[in-house]
Amino acid sequence: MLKLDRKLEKLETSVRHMGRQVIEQHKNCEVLFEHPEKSLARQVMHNDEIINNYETNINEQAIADIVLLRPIATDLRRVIVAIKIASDLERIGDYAKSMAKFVIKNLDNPATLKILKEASFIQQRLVKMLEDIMIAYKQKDVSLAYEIPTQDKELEALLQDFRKIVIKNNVADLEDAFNLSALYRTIGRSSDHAVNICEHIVYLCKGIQYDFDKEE
Amino acid sequence: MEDIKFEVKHLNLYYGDFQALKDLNINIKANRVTALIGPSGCGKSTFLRTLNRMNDLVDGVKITGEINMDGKNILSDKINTIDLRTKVGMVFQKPNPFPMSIYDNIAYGPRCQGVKDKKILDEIVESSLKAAALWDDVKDRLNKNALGMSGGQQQRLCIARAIAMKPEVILMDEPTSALDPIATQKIEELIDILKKDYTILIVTHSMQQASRVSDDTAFFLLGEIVEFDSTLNIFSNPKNKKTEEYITGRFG
Repeated sequence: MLKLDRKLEKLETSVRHMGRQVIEQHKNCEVLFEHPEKSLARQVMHNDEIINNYETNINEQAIADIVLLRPIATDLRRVIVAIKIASDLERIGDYAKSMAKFVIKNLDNPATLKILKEASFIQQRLVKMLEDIMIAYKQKDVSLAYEIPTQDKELEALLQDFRKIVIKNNVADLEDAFNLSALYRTIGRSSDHAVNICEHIVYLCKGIQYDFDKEE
Repeated sequence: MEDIKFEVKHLNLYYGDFQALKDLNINIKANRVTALIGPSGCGKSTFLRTLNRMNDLVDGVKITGEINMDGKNILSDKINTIDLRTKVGMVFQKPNPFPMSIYDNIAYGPRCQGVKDKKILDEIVESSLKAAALWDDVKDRLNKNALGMSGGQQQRLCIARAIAMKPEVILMDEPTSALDPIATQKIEELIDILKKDYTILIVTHSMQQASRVSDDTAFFLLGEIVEFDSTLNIFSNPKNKKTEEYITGRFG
């Protein structure tokens, strides 16, 4: 095994660890939506720092690999894709932090918490999508990377339903309604970044830039 | 649409019983730098030498196929190889200046062609040395022996000597493998400037050199061209697994 192979394997392992950490955060958010409580929410907010450190570390590794080992062709794509996936994972991690913040803010707001429960099902779908993505990345499975974005479409539809629930429940407080809409947007944005990662995996495997937004 | 300088069709070359080139088909574009890469013994230097018929000098060589240069088959018996080699100059791995003055090194070729006028020779020497980015280094010591120059300067002198013949094509067989990094960089810069006026083919064992200096790259393996494409495609997304293995150092 070449030194370059070992370094790239290490780099991708770091990205996978980072992915696992991000998934853990979103799983905790799913729990929080179902059973809101302060200490877990605090923990999620605190752990965001770990994810940020992962991204910094991955960028440093990637720069060292480029400078010292001069990767080309597939090797170079592996480095570029590691940087890009880490960047999207970091954003997805940020959204988990926002969700935890939202829970803390609304702990004494039973009307909001009741609707929040409805979101845990959607959040579960997001977690499943992230898990599938990390499998596609690990196995460099391009057909899986092509399939996953349909989950984003389904999730988008569920979010529309959630919006209707918010309206139907006739949230009295306008601020609560705004906050809830901001929350469901964080789930939607996380899913958008997840789709970006699918594009990076396609680029990694095939060397072509694919845009899932332009599909339809 | 770029002009095609060499159109190679079904080129086969044998050294005795050994087939060194196998059915090569490739179009070399004019005013571009084409890099020939591949492991030792893959035929890239042999191919380079067919372009100015240097292989004619090898005993027992047999060549079939066509190489059309500007529409004329240069493998034909009717081709005057001296004229051909004037048009298709060559620079070798080790700098090989003649053991004479810098001036005489450059003037040697034109003199052989019958140029006697001192003024014209002076002009050729100056313009050739300028084209090879050597003029400023040596203008005050044109009568000094060329063998006293540094390796990098000697190699640029060899390029100037080739340019003095007003060639259309310059073939370079590992032109920097005997040079230090600074001299190498100067030659690479020079290649980039020279391609405006000449078609350049370069054999190199350095993948980084191939990617830095060339526009197109041909990967040779066991006498065949495995892949020929733009250098960007070869080094970013090669189509052939063997190409990728070779350029990334995983070969064999």
